[in-house]
Amino acid sequence: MKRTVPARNFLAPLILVFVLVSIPAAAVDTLHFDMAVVEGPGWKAENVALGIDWRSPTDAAITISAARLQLPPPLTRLTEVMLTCPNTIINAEAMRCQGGTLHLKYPVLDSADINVDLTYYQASGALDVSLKNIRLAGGAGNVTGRLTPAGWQFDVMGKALDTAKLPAVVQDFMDWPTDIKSTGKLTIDAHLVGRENKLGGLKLNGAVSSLNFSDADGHRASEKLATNFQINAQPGPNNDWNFHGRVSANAGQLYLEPIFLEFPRTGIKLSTRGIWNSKRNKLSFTQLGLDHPEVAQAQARLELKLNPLQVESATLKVVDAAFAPFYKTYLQPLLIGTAFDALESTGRIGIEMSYQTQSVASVTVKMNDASLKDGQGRFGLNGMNGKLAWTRGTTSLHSDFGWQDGHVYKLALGTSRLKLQSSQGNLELLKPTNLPVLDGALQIKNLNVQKLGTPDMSLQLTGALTPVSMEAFSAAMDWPLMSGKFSSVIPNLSYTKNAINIGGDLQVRVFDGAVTVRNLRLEQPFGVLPLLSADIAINKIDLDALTRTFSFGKIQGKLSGAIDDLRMANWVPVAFNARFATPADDKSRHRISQKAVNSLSSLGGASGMLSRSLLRFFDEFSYARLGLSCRLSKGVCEMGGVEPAENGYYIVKGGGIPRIDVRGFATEVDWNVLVERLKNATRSEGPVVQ
Amino acid sequence: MKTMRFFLIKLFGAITLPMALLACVTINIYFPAAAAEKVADQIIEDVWGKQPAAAEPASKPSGVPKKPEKSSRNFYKMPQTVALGLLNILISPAQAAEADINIATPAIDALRGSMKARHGALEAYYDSGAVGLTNDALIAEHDAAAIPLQDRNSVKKLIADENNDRSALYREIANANNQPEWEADIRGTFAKQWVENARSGWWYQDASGAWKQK
Repeated sequence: MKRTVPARNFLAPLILVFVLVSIPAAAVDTLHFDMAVVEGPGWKAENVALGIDWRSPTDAAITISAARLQLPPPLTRLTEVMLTCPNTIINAEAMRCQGGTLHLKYPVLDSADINVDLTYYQASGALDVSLKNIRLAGGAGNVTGRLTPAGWQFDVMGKALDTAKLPAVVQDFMDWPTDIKSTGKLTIDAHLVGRENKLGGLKLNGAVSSLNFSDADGHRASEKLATNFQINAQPGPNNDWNFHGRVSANAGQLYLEPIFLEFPRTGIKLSTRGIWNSKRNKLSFTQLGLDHPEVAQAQARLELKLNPLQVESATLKVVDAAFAPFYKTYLQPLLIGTAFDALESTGRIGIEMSYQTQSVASVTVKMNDASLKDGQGRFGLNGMNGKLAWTRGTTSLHSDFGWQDGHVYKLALGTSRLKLQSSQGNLELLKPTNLPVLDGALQIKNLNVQKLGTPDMSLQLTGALTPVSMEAFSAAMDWPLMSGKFSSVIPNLSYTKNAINIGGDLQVRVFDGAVTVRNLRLEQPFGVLPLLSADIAINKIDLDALTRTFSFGKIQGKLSGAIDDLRMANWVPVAFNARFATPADDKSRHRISQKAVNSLSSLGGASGMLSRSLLRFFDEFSYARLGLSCRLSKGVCEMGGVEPAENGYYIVKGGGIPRIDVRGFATEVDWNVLVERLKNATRSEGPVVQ
Repeated sequence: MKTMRFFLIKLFGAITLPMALLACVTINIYFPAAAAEKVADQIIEDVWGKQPAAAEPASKPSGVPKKPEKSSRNFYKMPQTVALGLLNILISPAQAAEADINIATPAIDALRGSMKARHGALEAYYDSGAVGLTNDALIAEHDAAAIPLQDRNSVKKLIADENNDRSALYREIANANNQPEWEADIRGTFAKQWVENARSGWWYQDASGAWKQK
C-alpha cells in the first residue's frame, strides 16, 4: 500500500512504527509498508519503506529506509538513509533497538554505517538516540541525545577530525570562505538543545592542534597553531543569538596581515561576548578582551556587517603597554613604508581609538616616560610624557604632551611641553610655546594641523626662531667652529604634500656680515632622499674671519654674493648658481696671503705656481677685487671670476703693491673634483714658502 | 622696401617651416630613450650584480664575451637609432649632446648603494617567486605563501624600502638632469630594463599587470 503520511514532527514516523509494531503478532508475521512521501515542516522523505519481521510478540527486526530525503539546513546533503534494527525489543513501555545500524551518506562521512541504539518510550513519547563510532573527517565521533515532544538535546563529540575536510560540513551551517586551505586536527565536544528544527542553545568546547591554514593570497595564515576555544550561545529575541566565549592559543604562529603573532607557552587569550543576527547580517562583539602577556592588555568593541564583511564601528583601548614589544608586534607592521617603521622604543604606552563610518574617528595616545629613536638616526625623543589626542568629532579633545630632549637630524631639541586641542579633524596649539633648539628656540605662536594621518595632511606654523649661536650650530653640524648667530621671523611655515616650506627670511649673522636664506623648502624631510632648496644672499661677510675659520689662508676684505636656486639632495648640493665677489663699495683693506693665493689657484687646478716665482718672497699681496662664480649643473661647475681675462677669468685682480693676479682657465670643472680641492685647501697648511 | 619685406617673410618661412615640422618629431624623441636604457642597465647591473645570461639555445661558449641579448636588443632599437641619427643632422650638436643622462650625483650613488646592500636580502625572494617586478618599475609581493610567516613583515619592509629608494632614484635621475618632467619616462625605461635584466625564473608583471615568469 502507498499513501502519504503527514507528520507533525521528526518523531511521527517512529510513533507510526510503534503503533505498527504493537499490532497483535498473531495477526501478521511480516509487514511491509511503502510510503511515497512522508513530510513535516521543513523536511520530506520520499519512497519510504518500512519492513517489520516479527520473531515473537516482543522481538522484531525492523528496517526503515528512504530513497530521498529533504531535510532542513544544515542537513540538506544527507542521503541514502536506512535504519536497520535486527533486534527490536518491544514491550508495553518501550520499543528498544539495540545493536542497530544506521546507514547514510553525508559528504564528510568516511563510513556510511553507524552503530545505533534507539529507545522509544511510549508513555512520554521520548526517544533516546545513541550513535557510536561515527567515522568522519578522518577521525571519529559519537552522538547521544534525547528527543521528546517538548524538545531535544544532543551531545556531540568528535576527535582527531581533519580540518581540511571540515569546510564541507561548516558550509552547511554558515558562510565559510572557500579559499582557505588547512591541515590540522580538531577535537570538539558540543551540547545542543532545541525544539523541532530550531536550535535553542549551544555549548561548544574545542581544540585545534597543528593547524596550518592559508588563504589564497597569503594574507591570513597559520603554522603549527594550537588553540582551544569555548563558545556558549543562546537565542534571544528578534533572531538574535547571544554568545560568549574565549579563545586561547599557546603554540605556533599566526599571520593576519599585517600582524604576526608567535604564541608563547603562556598563551595569548581572547575573551568575548556578543550578539549575532543572521537575518540582519550583523555580528556585534560587545566585549572583546585581549590578554597578550608582556605585550598588551586590550579591550575592544566591534560591530560587523556580514556578507560582505565590513567593520561598522569599533573602539579599542590598550592600557599601559610596554612600548617596545607593543610597537614591534602591533604598531610597526602598520607603519611599514613610513619613516616610523624602524623605531627603537622604551617606556609605556596607552592607546584609545574609535572607528566609525569607515574611518578612524578619534585616537588618543598616552606616553609614560617613553622614548623613541629612529633606526637611521634621523630623529629621536626621550622622556616623553602626557597625552596626544585627535578627533574628527565636534567635541574637542585636549592634548598635553612633552619631552625631555631629542633631536631632528643633528639639531638637538630641549625640554618642551605642548598643549593642543583637537576637533573636526584639526589639531591646534592652545597657547604660544617655546621649543628649545640648540641654544635658541623655535617660538611657536600658532600651530594648526589638518587631516592628520592622511596623505593630504597639512600643517601651518607661525612664530620665530630666537637666536641660535653659530658656535652651537656649527658644532652640531661637525663644521669648523664659527662665531655669529642666526634667527628668523617665521611668518609662515607650512608642511603639505610631504614638503616643508618656510616663508620669510632666515637671517644669519656670521663672519660680521649677513646671510639671508629665502624660499627654504625641504621635501620628504624624513624620506630616503630629503631634497632641500633655497636662495641664499650673502652681504659683506668678513673674509678674514671666514678664512681663519676654514684655514683657507688669510684674506682680508669683504665678500658679497648669492647662491641662487640651491638644490641639495640628501644634504649634498646638486645644483646652484653661485657668485661671490668683493662688493663694489668695499673700502676695507684688501690683502691676500700666499697660502690663500695657492688655495684659490688650486681650485682652478693649478698649484705651487707661486712658490716657483719671484713672488714667493712676499707673505701677502694687495688686491683690487676678487671673486668666483660657479654654476653647478649635472655634476659640472661652470666657473668664472670677477672679470674675464685672456683665455679665462680673473679670480683675484691685483691692485696696489705687491700686486698679484690669479687667473682661472678651467671653465668647466667636475664638481666632485672641485669639492676635493676645496677640502684639501682648507685642510692642508699649504705649500711651505721660504 | 617691398622686396625686402618679401625676403624677410620668405626667410621667416624658411626658418619656421622646418621648425614646425620638426617640432612634432622633437617632442617624441626629446627623452633620450637609448641613453636612459644605458644608464638603467648600468644601475641595474650595479644593484643586482652581473646576472647570469638567460639560458638561450644559442648560448656562446664561455671565454667569448657573451652578449647575445645585447645584439638582439640592438636590432629592435635600430629604428630609434636611425631616427636619432637623422635628428642629429637636423638639430644642432649642442642640443644632441644634451641627450646624455647624468647619473653621477652623490644622491644617486647613495640610493644605488642602499639598493645594492638590500639586494642581498631580496635576491632569495626573487628566486623563490615570493617577490616580483611590477610594471611600474617597483617590486611587489607575488607569492606570499613562499615566505615563512615570521618573515612576511620583514619582506614587506624590504619591499617598501626598496620602492621608496626606487621612486627616489627615478625622480632624482630626472632632477639631476634638470628635467623633472622625465621622471615618468625614466620610470618606464627602468620598468622595461629591470625585467630585461631579470634572471630567468623571476616573476614580473606585463603591461596589463598580469604576472609572468621569465
